[in-house]
Amino acid sequence: MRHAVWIALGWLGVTFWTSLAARLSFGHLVPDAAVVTVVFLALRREPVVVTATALAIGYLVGRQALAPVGLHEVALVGCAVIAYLASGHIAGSGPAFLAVASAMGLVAYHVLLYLLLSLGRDQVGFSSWATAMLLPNAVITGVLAFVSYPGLAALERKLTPETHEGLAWR
Amino acid sequence: MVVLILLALPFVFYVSNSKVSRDHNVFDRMVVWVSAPVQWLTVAVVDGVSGAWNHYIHLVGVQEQNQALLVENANLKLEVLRRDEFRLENDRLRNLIGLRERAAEVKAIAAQVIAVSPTPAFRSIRVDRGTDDGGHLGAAVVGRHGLVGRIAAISGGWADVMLLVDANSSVDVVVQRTRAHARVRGRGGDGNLGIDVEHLSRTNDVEPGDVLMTSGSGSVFPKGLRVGTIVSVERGRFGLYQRAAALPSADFDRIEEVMILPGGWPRESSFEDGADLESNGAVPEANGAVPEANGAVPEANGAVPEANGAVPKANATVLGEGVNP
Repeated sequence: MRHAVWIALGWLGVTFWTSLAARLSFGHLVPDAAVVTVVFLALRREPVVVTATALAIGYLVGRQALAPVGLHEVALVGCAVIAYLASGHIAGSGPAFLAVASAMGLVAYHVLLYLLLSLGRDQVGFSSWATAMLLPNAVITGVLAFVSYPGLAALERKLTPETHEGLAWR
Repeated sequence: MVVLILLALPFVFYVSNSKVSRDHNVFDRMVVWVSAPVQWLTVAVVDGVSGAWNHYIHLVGVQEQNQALLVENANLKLEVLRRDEFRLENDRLRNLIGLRERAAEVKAIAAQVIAVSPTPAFRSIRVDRGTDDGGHLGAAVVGRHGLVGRIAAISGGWADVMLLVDANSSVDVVVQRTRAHARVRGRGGDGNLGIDVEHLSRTNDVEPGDVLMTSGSGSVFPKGLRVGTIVSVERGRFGLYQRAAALPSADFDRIEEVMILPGGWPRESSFEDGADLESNGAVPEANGAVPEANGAVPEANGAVPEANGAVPKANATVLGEGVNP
């Protein structure tokens, strides 16, 4: 049930930002709430939970993008695995760290999307536009991660069952 | 191990589905059924807030603007009177030469865009009309200036539209001036990046500025919808085809309202000669969409009704005198 909250959060984030982008033109910039959610979890949770959450969010995002089934799922799970593995080697925390990790996660996510598209489809059509949008989108996703960090951290504290080991020890 | 399975499972799905285009299944529809109202609500809130801001809060300079508008209004009234005369004259002339409103039998459903694609690799939009409103899979979607795309997935009250500029989009077109056939393929970018014109025989006379229209082949799109304008032509020394690039007519930077053409139109229906979809007069005024003035030239007519403003979800507006089965 706790994991469903993260899935719902990532999905609603994508739903909200894509509909906002339909009205308010940010020059095609759309922050990726799915990547922020997945990277946030990848920095704190065990890999099975992270990948399962990424799989579910990837499915939901892929349906809106009209993408073939499996594409966004693999890319987002891959992004989660990369973030998880990288977090083991880099010591860092806080909103700035999440922002940088999310921005890099978005780049990894889109590179994986492109690689999978090239692999699976005869003519994906390399889109110079999508490539040009990559870095600006990474920056705006990083900004979203930075801003939403306190909320995500608070939600995580609420969702994580409290242990009283410290009190018991005292 | 579990992680590897979770990674491998969707990969297998992707490899087996990557070349297959499919509509939403039951579960997908459920997903859309939950997410689309949220998107619709978000758009409604944004529209409401921006409307309240523009109409009630952001009133700096309104007094001066009001004076200027009063003068402009007086001028426009005169202009309207003049145009009414032209319109009546236009009607009389059309009746005289036996012309009828072009493609007036084609239904059109006004729809609001409620979301864009979450990833730039795919160019799609979601609109607030679906099968309940008369839309169907593959239906053509047009904007104020021309073809926008086609419905690639649909459910009861919502539809996902693959845009003309999506890399997977392909449309059969004719060059308006020479009637040369070609195919237009998206580049996966926005409108400014352009679209590719393929399979254009090298013997055909095509030059920058030529207008591309839908050919009507395959009955996917009605004939004569404006697709774009050729901006460059490259004819190599060898080969069967020449290469051309075009700029789409629709403004993909900011699409807020579109029209769905549900299909079932008679084969002879054509939008041609109504090069600019704004310059048409086929909409009954009762539907709330005011027909644009045709101007002084009697031939300047067309058929695609213009969507004037956001159409409330409650009353799906079907425009045109439909004979759609």
